[in-house]
Amino acid sequence: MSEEVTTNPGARKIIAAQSTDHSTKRWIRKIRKRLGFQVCLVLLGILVIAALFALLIAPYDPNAIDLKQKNEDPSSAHIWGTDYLGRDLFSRTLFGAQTSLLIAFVTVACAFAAGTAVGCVAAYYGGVVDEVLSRCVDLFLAFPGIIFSLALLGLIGAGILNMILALTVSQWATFARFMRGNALSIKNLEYIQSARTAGLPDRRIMMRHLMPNAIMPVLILATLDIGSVILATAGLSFLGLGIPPGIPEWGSMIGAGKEFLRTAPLNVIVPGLAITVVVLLFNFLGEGLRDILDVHDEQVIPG
Amino acid sequence: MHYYLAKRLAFMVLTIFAASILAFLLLHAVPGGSAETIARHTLVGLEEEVSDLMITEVSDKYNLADPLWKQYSDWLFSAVFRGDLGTSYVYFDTPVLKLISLALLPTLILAGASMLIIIVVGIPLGIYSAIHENRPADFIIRCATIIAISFPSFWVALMLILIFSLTMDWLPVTGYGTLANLILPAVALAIHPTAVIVRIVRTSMLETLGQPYITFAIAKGLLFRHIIWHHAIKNALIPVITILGLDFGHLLAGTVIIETIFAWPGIGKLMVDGVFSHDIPVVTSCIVVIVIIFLFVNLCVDMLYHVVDPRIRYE
Amino acid sequence: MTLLEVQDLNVHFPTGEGTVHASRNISFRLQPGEVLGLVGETGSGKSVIGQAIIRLLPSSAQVSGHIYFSGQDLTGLSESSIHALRGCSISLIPQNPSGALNPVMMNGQQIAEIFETQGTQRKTAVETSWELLAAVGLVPAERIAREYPHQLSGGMRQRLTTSIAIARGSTKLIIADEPTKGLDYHARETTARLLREISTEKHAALLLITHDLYLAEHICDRIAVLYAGEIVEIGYAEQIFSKPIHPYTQALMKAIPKNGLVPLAGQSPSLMALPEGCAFMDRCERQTEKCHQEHPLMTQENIDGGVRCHHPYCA
Repeated sequence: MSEEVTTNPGARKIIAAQSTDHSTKRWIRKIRKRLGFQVCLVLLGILVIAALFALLIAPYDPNAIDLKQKNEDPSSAHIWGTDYLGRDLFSRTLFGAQTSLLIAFVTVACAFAAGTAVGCVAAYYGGVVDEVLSRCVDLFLAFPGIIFSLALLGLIGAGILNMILALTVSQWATFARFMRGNALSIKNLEYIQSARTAGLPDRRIMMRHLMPNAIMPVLILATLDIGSVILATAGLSFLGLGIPPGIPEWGSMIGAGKEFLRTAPLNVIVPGLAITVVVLLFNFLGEGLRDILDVHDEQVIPG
Repeated sequence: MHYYLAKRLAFMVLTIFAASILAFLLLHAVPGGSAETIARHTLVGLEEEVSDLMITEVSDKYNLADPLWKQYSDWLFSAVFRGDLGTSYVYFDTPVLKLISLALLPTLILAGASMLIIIVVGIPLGIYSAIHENRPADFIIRCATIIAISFPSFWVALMLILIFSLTMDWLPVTGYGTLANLILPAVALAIHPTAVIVRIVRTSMLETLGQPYITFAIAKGLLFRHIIWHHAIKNALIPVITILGLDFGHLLAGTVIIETIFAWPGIGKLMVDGVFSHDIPVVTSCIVVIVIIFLFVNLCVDMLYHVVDPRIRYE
Repeated sequence: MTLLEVQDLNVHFPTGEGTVHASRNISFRLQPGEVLGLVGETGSGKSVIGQAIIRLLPSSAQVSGHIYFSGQDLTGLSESSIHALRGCSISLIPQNPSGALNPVMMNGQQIAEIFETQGTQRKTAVETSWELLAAVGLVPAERIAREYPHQLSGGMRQRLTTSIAIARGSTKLIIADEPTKGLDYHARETTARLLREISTEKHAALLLITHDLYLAEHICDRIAVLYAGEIVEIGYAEQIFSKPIHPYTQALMKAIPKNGLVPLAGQSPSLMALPEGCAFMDRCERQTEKCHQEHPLMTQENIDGGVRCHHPYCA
């Protein structure tokens, strides 16, 4: 051994180290510092409340056709104008928010649940279990984007539940792979090993130790995924799939309105802006969360 | 190295195989009888009733009465050994292979053009943004990209049409064959992935610039231009390669919508048309072709990664 | 003429949780061809001094004081003027050779690029790099030049960064930051010998930053002992090792294995919360009231020798 100076075993580094205390108070303090994030949270809150109470807030029935008033410009009667069948655009957009958010939240929740469960199990058990599960995940990941959902929806027909199913099937694999990666990097840490040696049941180790620690970045992925699912929903309904007639949805509004692109562009512009703004808010939320939770992971990209 | 390549190829073939089974099952396990649905879609139109005779006719023609596994294995064998992917239910019995081979080139052209935009526009913007971190230019680029990521691609397409075709009459809306036809669809398809790449390149570049070997390169007294190019950019772009591979998949998926809007005669449009007319052989084959292209591109990208990063090469 | 004169150098880092006073009141002189060791524990501010001289501190650093190099005040120079000196007149051997080498660039290229950016022909640059590799004992030079850093051992990487530092031959000052950190006994010996050789042959002054007392004893002409960011004693190597006067230096010497390996109790103070009086007082057996109230100044004991203590002990 070299004759290094051994007089100060507890020497500090030049730059003060950051504490790894994850208490709620610390998070609140971080949120306080970020005005943009607060604005984003507030706007999202307003959005969710507006969507929930669309029935109360909307001035008109979104499906009320009035051909005498079709393609009107914004006025005091219709603040965002009317569509090609005379339906109030503001009301339709509001109800469209309800549809999109419902589908997106449920889809992401299901994909998240399924994906993280599979990813955790695969990482924990390793070996054959991991191989088999990973091959399944790879299989679903081999279908890019909405290809799978497109075919499935064409097959089983329209319906909110069908839409949720079709989208969940295409999203879960991304969560599974991501969770597996995270869980693997934690699995070999000491405290997991000691839990195993102590003889704790597998499921308990997975639930209490492995999952909670691997899950943070996956939650951020989930937030960013909400935006992706909203875009996918809109894309599929734009093509005419998945959404039954009579339920306003932004994508199908654009799809139906594109004939009037030159003559009455509001049909297309309004729902498109709505999609953009909502997805933007969720993307900001995800980015903000990533910043707050100090997760620097380039792999957190929604699929 | 060769062993790795062989292993990857084997997995790829296996995945394609499994994907084809999945696609096949997906489309043939229709509740309510596929023969009836097909008959209704192709023979009479959706409103009218379908007679039992028609159902039997359809069923016999396409062997739909056979058990599923037999249908699949028949299809598989004829596909692999005879290049016969079945015939379209809709296009007057045209072989599916012919339809796909006609649609393949347009899709590849569109995806290729979009990829070019992504690389030529996205990568330099990301590098520029990183070099000028926290200055106004960086701020503008970051705002622009996060907004661009939030646009639905079909809406962008329609807005582009509104501006450049309907209002200014610079570019045609639909059609295929000239460069002018290609511009709008390629741009519409490329906007989302370009924005994503800008952000990823920026992050990778910033991370690279924070590495100790950059500091040491400065200590060596090298010219800053040389450091940015030879040390920063070359290293930062390595992880971006894999992302570009995935992006190609997103492009393929995106063609489904973009081709439909611009009436671009590619595989995406073929598939969508097939879905709406329940043209099952076409849809199944489209899915399989798309999966093959996607997996193949990813494999190439992976191999490229191995070539470019010497640390992996020598493992 | 004095090659390097540092006057009252102070380096602070403001952080979210307080200001870190990394270096305080640093003053010393270095003559051409001389080897001066900056010796101290981790966190005593040694590396920061080296980085300050060549101006490679993180952007958050606040620096005050003067650094005269061949009569020119470096602290007042523009970035491009300082950059002209880097690698040319002042070289750095970085603390972590593994991190400092670009992992995807060939070893030889990391030397050759120094000449290429100056306009030298590629062939000449490559041949020069082979010569330099051989000069530090990395043979067969041509093979090693084509390999990558991860294929070299720790000691070999250290020699590579050393050869980069002496590449241009015009170097008058070499700053070696912890050159033996993490090396095994044999590699340490080789590195020590190499540094001594370079200093003699190239007539370059060597500022040796280290916590390795063995290295300091064997190759330094003079030694400055650092504690809590300050120089507490400075003098000729033989004198520091045989007759130390500052209580900290004395404790250091006692802690050396061959002197009995007697550890010093306590911990050095946090660089964010330094006491008003002497930084060492809590661990000093000679502390008095005066030590608590008055911060000791550097007193000249002899030419180029001094101590910062109220009660220096001359045994």
